[in-house]
Amino acid sequence: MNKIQKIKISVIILVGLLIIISPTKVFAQSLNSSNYTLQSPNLTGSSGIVDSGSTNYSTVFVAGDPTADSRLESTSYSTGVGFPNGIYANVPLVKCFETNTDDSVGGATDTSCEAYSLTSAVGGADTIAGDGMQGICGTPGCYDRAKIEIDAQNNPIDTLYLVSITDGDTATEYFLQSDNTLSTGYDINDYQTICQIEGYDPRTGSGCETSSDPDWDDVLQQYNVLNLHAGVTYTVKVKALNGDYTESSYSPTVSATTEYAALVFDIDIDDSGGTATETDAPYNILLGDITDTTVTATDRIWLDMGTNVFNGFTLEVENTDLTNGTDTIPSTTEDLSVDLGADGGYGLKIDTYTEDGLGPIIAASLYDTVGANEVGALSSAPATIFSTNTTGSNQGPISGGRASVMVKAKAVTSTPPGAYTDLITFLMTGNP
Amino acid sequence: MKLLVHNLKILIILFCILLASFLFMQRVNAQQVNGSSEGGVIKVSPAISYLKTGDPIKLIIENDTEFPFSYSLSASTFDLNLEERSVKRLENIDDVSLFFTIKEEDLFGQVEPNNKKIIEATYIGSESNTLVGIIVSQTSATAINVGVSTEFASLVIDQTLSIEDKGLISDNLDVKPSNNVLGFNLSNKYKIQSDFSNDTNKLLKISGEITVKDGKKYLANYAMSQYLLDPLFPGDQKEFQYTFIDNRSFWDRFGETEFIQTYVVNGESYISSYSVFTVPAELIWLGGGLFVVLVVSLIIRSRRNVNRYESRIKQLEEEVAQSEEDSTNKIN
Repeated sequence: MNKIQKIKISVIILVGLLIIISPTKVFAQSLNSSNYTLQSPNLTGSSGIVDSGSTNYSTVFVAGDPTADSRLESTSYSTGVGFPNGIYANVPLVKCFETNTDDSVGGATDTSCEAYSLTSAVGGADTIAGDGMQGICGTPGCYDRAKIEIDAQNNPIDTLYLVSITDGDTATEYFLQSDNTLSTGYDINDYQTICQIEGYDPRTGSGCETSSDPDWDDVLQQYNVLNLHAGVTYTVKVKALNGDYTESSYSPTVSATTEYAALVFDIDIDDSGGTATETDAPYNILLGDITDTTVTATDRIWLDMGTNVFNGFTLEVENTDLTNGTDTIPSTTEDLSVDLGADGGYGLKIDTYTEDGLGPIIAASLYDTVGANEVGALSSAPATIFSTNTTGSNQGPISGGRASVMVKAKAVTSTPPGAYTDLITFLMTGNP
Repeated sequence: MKLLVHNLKILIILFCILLASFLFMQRVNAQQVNGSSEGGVIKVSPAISYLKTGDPIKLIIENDTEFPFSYSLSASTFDLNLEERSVKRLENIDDVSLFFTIKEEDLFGQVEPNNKKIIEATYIGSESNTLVGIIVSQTSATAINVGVSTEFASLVIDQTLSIEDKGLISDNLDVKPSNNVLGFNLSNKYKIQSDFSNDTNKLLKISGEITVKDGKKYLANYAMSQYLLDPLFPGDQKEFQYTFIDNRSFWDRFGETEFIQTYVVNGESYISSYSVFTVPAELIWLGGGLFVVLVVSLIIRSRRNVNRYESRIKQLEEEVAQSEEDSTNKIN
């Protein structure tokens, strides 16, 4: 075997290896063959029936190019015929764009969203987690986020959508980014499927049908537009894309206004039956005669509490001192029945607390005591008495919080006589 | 006549009784009656504002009760309560102008029932870097026996970052290919890890995403913003992990793959990136295969050369032997 033959064998082996390992790319081939040629593939005439009749090729045929016709357009629609209208994606609709809806069925603020959270997936339910966006964010609604759902209008599952959001205050147009925030620019990454935008898509094969699907996202089902500003009216519209050159026009617009992050609080004074009482300032609790047995004021301090702050609120209490101007009845955390210091005492004890929705209210153990005459101390340093937070399954926002607090005091025989007064102040703050 | 006088007397007596009752009727003033109507509330917003020096605030006091709400405005400083993830009031500041610009006439006032008042304010900063808030205090409280009062805090989180603060914020982007040999990545699977940490004494609001690119070609994107809705408290860390699998052909995977993390902290943008040079295993196998073929063909070739040389040597030896024999025969 001579040199040339050996070289040929080596080359053949090498080429053979390259063919096996290299990916095969097939480029588009010419429509011409030895048997036919297709030139400017259009069909004229009234028949739009095309029979390609071959397994070797396929073509896109155009059923003529009509001239301009004003009947094809109106103020609310336009009909496109001819190439390339036939390949455009269907114009989608905004099914819902909400910040402060509730579930008052048939009411003006009824939710149109159909999101399903992980724990409450109910077919056809007309709620988000039970009570519209107020069920997510608390009364009166969301201040920094919103929920959008898209009606695909028969576009395929893999259709991509771009969401445009305009700030009504500044008239700035933003686009929903792939991380659910807003930006004035966008690129192909920001075109997303319904599954990616909403974390839920009931269509078979979407990858978002049930909670066991990989792309199911119960957070996006609650809110999927982030970093909004409070008190601003936003207007959204959506367009669809399903392959090159197929982008649809924008949908009709839908608007929603974000709420403000708010604290809701009120004091009422009434006895233990005052669950729904409304009283006016000035608020005063009459302790009556403070004796050497524990005295509990007949009236309670009733507190209404609510917030839509995402991380909840903290209610602190402080006082000036229970004093007759000269002498003070001390306030320490203790069982007044025992009165270890034998110097009398004064403080607060939580009686009841409840809420209508979200939360729950968390009562501080300092004041939520066990013993009938156990009280928490009051001082000029604020102490937390009630709060909400987001630890575990807790939710910061709360609706319809209502609590009652008892005021107790006790004197000793050495307590100087006099008219003892105090000013108790409750301070409500949102949690950052 | 007697009857007339008698009737007159009765009339006069009745008249006097009526007159007396009008004159001496006791008026019972309406007392503080604790009724049973549904409760109304006072609503104050914004509860929390993320601001920089000079930013405006629109303070709204909404009275949904049936009674007027008298208020006064002051300020307070707050400290972060890291344990409870809340704030704690430090000090009351009567002079609100130390931190906010508010019109004099808005510092005190009354909001009528079912009405709201909007107060324009401007945040002028906090020199001590402590948290501050506008305090809305109900002013009708009196300490008769035990008086009870209400206050609301409209908290301001200062977004300003000093140069020192910026150096105390880290994102620690790290990418670990699943098969790394001598600094070269052989695999198509990458573990991306991003670890935000806040070593400042401030609350940080962060949003961000990670983009994977090959030159100008976008390969993947991972969003973090929805997991960063809560601000990062001082000392907090937040870790994200993603797995990126590159499903392209081995030839497309050859070369640099770039991982870019873009994020915004308190309104300021940051960017960090991490590059991985990939030599796909298939290329290694291909190269190895070619090398083996080359070596084998060289061995075969060299062995053939050796055989040829040996046969040539043998031939030469035979020729030498033959010529020696011929010489011997000639002499003989």
